Amino acid sequence: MAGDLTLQCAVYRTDSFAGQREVRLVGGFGGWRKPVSSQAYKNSAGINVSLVLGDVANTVGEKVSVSNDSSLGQHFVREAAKASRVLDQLSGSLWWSKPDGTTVVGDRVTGSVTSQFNIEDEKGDKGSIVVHTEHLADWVPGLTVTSPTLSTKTLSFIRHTFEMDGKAKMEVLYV
Amino acid sequence: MSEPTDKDRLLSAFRALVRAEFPTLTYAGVFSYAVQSSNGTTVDASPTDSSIPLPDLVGIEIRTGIPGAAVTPSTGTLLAVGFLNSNPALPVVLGAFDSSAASLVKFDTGMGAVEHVATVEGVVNMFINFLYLIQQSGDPSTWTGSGKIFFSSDTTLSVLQGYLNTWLTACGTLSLPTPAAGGGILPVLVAPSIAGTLAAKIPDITGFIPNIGSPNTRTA
Repeated sequence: MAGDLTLQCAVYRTDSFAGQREVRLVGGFGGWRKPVSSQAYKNSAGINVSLVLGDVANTVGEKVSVSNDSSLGQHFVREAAKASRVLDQLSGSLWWSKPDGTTVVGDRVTGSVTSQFNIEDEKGDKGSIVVHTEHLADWVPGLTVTSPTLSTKTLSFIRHTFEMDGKAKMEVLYV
Repeated sequence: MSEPTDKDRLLSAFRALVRAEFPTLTYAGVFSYAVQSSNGTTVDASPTDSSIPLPDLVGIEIRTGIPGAAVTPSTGTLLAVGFLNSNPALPVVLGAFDSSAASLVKFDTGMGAVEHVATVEGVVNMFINFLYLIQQSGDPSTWTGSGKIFFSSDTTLSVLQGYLNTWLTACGTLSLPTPAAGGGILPVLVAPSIAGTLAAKIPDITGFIPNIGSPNTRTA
């Protein structure tokens, strides 16, 4: 939790040294890197993407939501692999995590950032901006942002950095 | 320096990136499976190598590789399973069977599009059916004789078979009459009828020859 931003995360790696603990977190419940066994599906009425991904998610302790569910046909042959591989196969790598940890298969939410913010810096060559705002949760990839000093940009990547002295920094890469 | 194994974090991360670019790479392969059962259109089969990352498959479509052909492979037959377009939702049996005898091979599902295949069994079946068609048994006093050949009242299929055997053997020793002028009637009238009959399925009254126009490769 940071400001109004609350993210469901799982600990990927952590250790302590000299009285400090450092942690690497991943969004969601930490299940997608777990292996799943092979499984064959067959249904003459059709097999939906949500069925296959739901099974995988349940197996590894994740939650998944398919925005535009569709039938794969009468068969699906799941290979024994990491759960993330099945996710990639069925999502076309078009997936993202909601703050509550649910993995969404589909396009990101669109719209624009409407809360207050200040652009502290822009690097035109990098395609990045540094933003100060009290509303961290409003900044998610897929949204657009416009200001008097910045032409309309679509957010692509957001990095939050929290320093030991309590300072927070949000760097945004735009498309 | 780093670990030359899967414990090499840098190499593992790089390999994961590469794999992520080809999420369906596994499905570009062709895999050896053994038939558990088949209905002539699909098979249930199991991998012959337990190290491949794929499961037992159920109801997978058979593509024989021959237009119009259908095959019922016998249990234990080795075959190749692949995935159309490298798509895990499109598994098919590819026409790469081992030499195990099939339960049944049919070439008639594409009749009209391919040359028909006639077998000795099919020809014999046609003759037997022909005799059965023209036979009349029972009381000779009631026999009308129109288009029929009279057999005794106890005529059975085995008796018909005996007649057929005798007559077909005699065919090879007869002194045939000189053909009529014009080359005879067989090529222009009868041959097309025989070809048409052999190209289609007709009832198997013997119970031993499933299809005319289809080779019977049953071993039992």
